[in-house]
Amino acid sequence: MALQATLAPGRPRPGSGRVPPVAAPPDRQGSRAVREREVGAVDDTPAEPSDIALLREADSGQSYAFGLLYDRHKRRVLNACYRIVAHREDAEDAAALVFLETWRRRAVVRDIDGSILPWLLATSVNVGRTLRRNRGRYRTFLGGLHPEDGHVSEADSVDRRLERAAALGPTWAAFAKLNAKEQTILLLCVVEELPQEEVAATLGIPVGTVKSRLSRAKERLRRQMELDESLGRERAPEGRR
Amino acid sequence: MFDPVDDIEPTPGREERTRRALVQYAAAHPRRRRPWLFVIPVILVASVLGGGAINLLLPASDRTQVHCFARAEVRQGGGYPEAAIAIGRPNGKAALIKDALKACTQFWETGLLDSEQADGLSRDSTGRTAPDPANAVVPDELTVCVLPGGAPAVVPGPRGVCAGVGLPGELR
Repeated sequence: MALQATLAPGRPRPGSGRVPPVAAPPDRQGSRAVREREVGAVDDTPAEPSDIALLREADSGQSYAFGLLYDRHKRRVLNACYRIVAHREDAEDAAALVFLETWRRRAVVRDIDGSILPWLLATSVNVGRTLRRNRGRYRTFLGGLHPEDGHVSEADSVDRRLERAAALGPTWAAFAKLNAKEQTILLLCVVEELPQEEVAATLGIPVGTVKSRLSRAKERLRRQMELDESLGRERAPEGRR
Repeated sequence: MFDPVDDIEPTPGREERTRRALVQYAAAHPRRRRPWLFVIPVILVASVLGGGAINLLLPASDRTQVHCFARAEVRQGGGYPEAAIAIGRPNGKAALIKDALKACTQFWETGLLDSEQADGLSRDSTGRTAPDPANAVVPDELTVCVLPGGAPAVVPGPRGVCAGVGLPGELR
C-alpha cells in the first residue's frame, strides 16, 4: 500500500538567534554590489536573543523572558500537541504543560544552535501521551487556565483517544497506536521536518540511530495502517447486516 | 506521509491566561541553589582565618563502609581504634549504609567494641576478638566524622570531638 505523500512544506525554525540568509530580488541578482548592500543591511539589524538566552535570562530572575519564549513557540507547540492528542482543549492544556515542564527541567534542556524548539516538540509527545493519565499531577496549574468553571477534564479511555485520532485521518489513527519513541521520531523528522542531526542532538542519540529508528517507525506506521484498513474492511460488511 | 491537518488557533483569552500563568510560575519557582556548595568554601575560609577555631564540615562521600571508633583518639602512627562495617551483596557490590550512627550503635550493642582495649575490640578469655553482648555499653554520645577517604567514622563524644581526632565533622 502506498502511503499518501502529503508533507507540509518546511517551516522556518525560529529561536536560533541566527539571521536567515536573504536572497536579492530577481531583478537585482546580477549586481554583486547591490546584493552585498542588501546583506549588509540585514546584518545591521540586531538579532533576537536565542531561546536558550531567554531561558537563562528567565532563570536569572527575569521571568518576563519566559513569556517571550512562550510567544515565540506557542503556536508550533500547540499544533504539535494537537497532532498527538487530537483534541483542541487537551492540546491547549498539553502545550501549556510543555512549557511548564521546560521550566521545571531547564537545567537539562538541550538547545541546537540556541534553539530549544526541537526539545519543545519532543516534549510535546511525552506530555501529550501522558496528559490524560497525569492530569491530577498538574491539577493546580491547569485549574488556573480554566477560570470559567475551574474544571479539569478527567481521563478518557484509550478507545476514545484513538477515536479522536481517527478523525484527523487514517495516518494519524495509526500514529496514535505507535509507542512514544516511534511517535517522537516521526513527529520530529517527518511532520516537523527537522534535520536528522538536530533530532539526534535533541534526543541524545547518534545520527545512525535516528535513521534506523525512523526507518522502523515508518515501517510500523505502514503496517499499522494496513492493519487498520483490513479491520475496517472486515467491519464494514458487519455494519451492513 | 501524513494526512494534512489544519493548524488550530488557541481559544480566545486562553493564550494570554497561559502566558500569565507560566510567567508567574517561573517567577515563583526561581533557580534552586545547593546550599552546601556555598557553605563548604565559607567554612573552609572561616576555618583557615580562625586558626582552626571553627570545625570543618564535609559530606561523607563513601557510604559503602562505616568506621565505628571505640575511643576518640588517634593512635601513634596515625591509626584509629575502630572496627569497620561494610555490607556485601550477593552480586559482589557493597551496599550503601545510609545511617552511619544507627549502624555503629547496633555495632556497640553487640559488644564487639571495647574502649578499654588498645585496638578497641572486645576479646574473649583466649584473647581472640569476640562480641560480648552481655557487657555491651553504648556510649552516651556518638558523633559522625568523615575519614580522608570520604567514609563516615562514628566517634564517641559530643559535637566537636571530630576536631579532637583531626577529622572533619559530617555535613548532612
